[in-house]
Amino acid sequence: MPQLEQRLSEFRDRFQQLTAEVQKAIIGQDDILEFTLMALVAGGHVLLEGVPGLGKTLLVRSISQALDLTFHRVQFTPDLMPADIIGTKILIDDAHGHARFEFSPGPIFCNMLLGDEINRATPKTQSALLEAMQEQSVTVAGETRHLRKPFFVLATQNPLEMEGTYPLPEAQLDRFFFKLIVQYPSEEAFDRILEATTGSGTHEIRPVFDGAQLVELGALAREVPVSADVRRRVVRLVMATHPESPHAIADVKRYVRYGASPRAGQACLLASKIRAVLQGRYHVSGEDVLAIAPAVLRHRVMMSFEAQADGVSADALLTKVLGEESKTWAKSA
Amino acid sequence: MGFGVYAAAAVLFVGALVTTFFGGAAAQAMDPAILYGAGGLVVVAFALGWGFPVTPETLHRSMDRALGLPDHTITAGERAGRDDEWSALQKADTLERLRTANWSRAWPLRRLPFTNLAAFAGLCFALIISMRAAAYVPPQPPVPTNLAAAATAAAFAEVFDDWEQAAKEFDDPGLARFLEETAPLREALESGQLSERETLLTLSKLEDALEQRREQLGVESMEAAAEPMADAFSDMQMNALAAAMRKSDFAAAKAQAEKQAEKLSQPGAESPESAAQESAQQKMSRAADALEKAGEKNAAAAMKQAQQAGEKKDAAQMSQAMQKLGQCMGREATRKEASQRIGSQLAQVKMGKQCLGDKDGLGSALGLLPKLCQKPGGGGAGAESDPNREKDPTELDASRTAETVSGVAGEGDSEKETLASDTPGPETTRSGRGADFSEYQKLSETAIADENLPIAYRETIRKYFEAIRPRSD
Repeated sequence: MPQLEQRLSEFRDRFQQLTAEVQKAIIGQDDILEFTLMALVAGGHVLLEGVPGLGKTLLVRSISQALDLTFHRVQFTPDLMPADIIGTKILIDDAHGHARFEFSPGPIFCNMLLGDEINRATPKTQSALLEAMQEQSVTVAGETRHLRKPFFVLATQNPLEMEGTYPLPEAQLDRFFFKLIVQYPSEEAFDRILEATTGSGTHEIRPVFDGAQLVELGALAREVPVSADVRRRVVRLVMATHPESPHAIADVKRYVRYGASPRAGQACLLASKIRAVLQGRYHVSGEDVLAIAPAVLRHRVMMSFEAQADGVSADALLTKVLGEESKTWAKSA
Repeated sequence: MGFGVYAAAAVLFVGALVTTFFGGAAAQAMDPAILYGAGGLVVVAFALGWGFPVTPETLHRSMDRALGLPDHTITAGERAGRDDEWSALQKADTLERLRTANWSRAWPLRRLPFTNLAAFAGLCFALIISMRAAAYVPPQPPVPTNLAAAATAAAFAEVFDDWEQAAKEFDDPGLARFLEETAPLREALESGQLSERETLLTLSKLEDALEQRREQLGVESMEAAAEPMADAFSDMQMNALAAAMRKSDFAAAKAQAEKQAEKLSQPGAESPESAAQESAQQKMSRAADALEKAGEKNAAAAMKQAQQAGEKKDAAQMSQAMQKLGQCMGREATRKEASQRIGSQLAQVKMGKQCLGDKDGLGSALGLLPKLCQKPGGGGAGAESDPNREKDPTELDASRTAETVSGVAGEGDSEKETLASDTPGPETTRSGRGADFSEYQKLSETAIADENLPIAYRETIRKYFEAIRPRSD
């Protein structure tokens, strides 16, 4: 077997192992799990949105255990300060009695940071994650400190409108690879959840592989070739979310304030490559793009007030956009 | 579009071409422009489909779509120039998918969108052509919309044929001239293209022409002088001649006159003694005057010559006179026959006017009227026709001796029986049968009111009884 094929086979196997290990603790939510893992392989951050009690925190914790990654959880509250996340310099006394400042790292110094209810923190605190998510480093008192690798931010937010919440700024939203909507479990899944979680048995999650191997998977996925045609489709798709674009449909022109950034295109391609490998193919197809596009775009398309007034959600709009684009791709083929 | 569509379009196109060039229902049912247009579209479709160069990129995309492998077979163009493990794996994957693909779905490969549109349009046209050809009904011969007009034209054609045949048979120059003059009117009636009103007007014109011809014939006639001449011949003891004159049988009178002329021309013949008597002389004079008054100058001169011959008792001169009178009577007989024929023609024309619109009634009504050239049949009743229908009483074919019964016309009522005539008109004999007519009046009114009778027949019955109604004059 050629080496590449072997490597790809190992990729699928490890991914499957990781998935199976996490599924010991997480029942149902297979799509959420798959997309989250895809984002981790791609080195991206994930924003999970769902009502409380759906296992978002458990999901992140289980993934960190399966990948043998250091995991920190931060509960965002309105009084949380940026220093509470990234760390700060504190004054300590040394052995000689002299006072000196020493950097005390914040919880962000880990491999996997879970930011619960990130939209409850103030924008100032939220913006503390910006540099970390993009540069994977933090700057405190003029000194830049690099974070561990791999570094992932898995944030959660509650879809229900509550007082005292601060919507994430567009700049920070754009840094999330995926935004996944955690749905309420099905009856069958609910039944299994109750069976698994209300008994005396425990599910221990063992590490499948470490973070370095995860990074290797990501590097392999980047090697998957993409045809110019598929690449052009991704460009056209992202451009179709811009109201001023000639590819934009009427609803986009009407309901979108501004569309996705080039980061969305990068995320589309990276995620498509991973999906192609998982599907057993050696190249990216339009199907891959269409499958991951909603998760990539829903938090990057800024809806206008008219959309809020008419009750048009980003998901509904993206469904139309993807439908039109798939027709266009079929015609041009 | 699948292979079947292209194949069907090609078959239909070829079929349309064949029927176009070799005739048939399809060519007759469809405007040739549409046939060629449909064929042209199909040709364009094939031309674009097979003549337009296909790039490897579009070919592989077509393969993907046709084989149900959307985007699963990366185009060869994408792999072109790459010689790495990825390219090798993709090629192996492509070959495996192609090996297991369902190739029956692959043909024809996708061409330009316009190609499919043109082929589809051509197929639709070809289907339309085939459906119309299947439902095509050859044009039927035009059905006369006015059956009555067609039947009327046929009836008149038969009548006019009879006229023409009569012109030849009886050597009637007047009739021939009449037929020549009225040829346009007759042709119009025979065409069956006239409306009822136009037919009526044409028949009226024909009737007027006949009336005019009859008037011309009656300008010079011995008819008015027949009685005085009969009296004169009777006094001259030429009783047979007198009897013929009294019956206005000028043909018989001619024969008798010639007989008398022959007799008087014999050697030793003598002029009748009675011709010298004053009574005969006066009657001959009166006859000559009557002939003179009737415009028959030749006959008048011949009668005067006979008068003089009788007075002089000159048999030879009498013979000449009788000879001349015979000639005049012959001409009169010919004129009278022509007049009779005109009467028959008038009856036919008038019957046509009465039965107008009744296609069945006209033919049968005209059939009841005697033809001008009607020949006697054999063995059947009513097969013979009496040329003396008009006005002349029926002559019994029996040997008899004419006797003159002289008497004085009294002041009492007189009765004359007349056989019914089928020629309505002013010539209808009037009779004093008022008491008998009243018996038929009720019957006639009942007949006229009968709704089962065609209107044309009722009109004929009404006119008949009106014609024989006693008039007080």
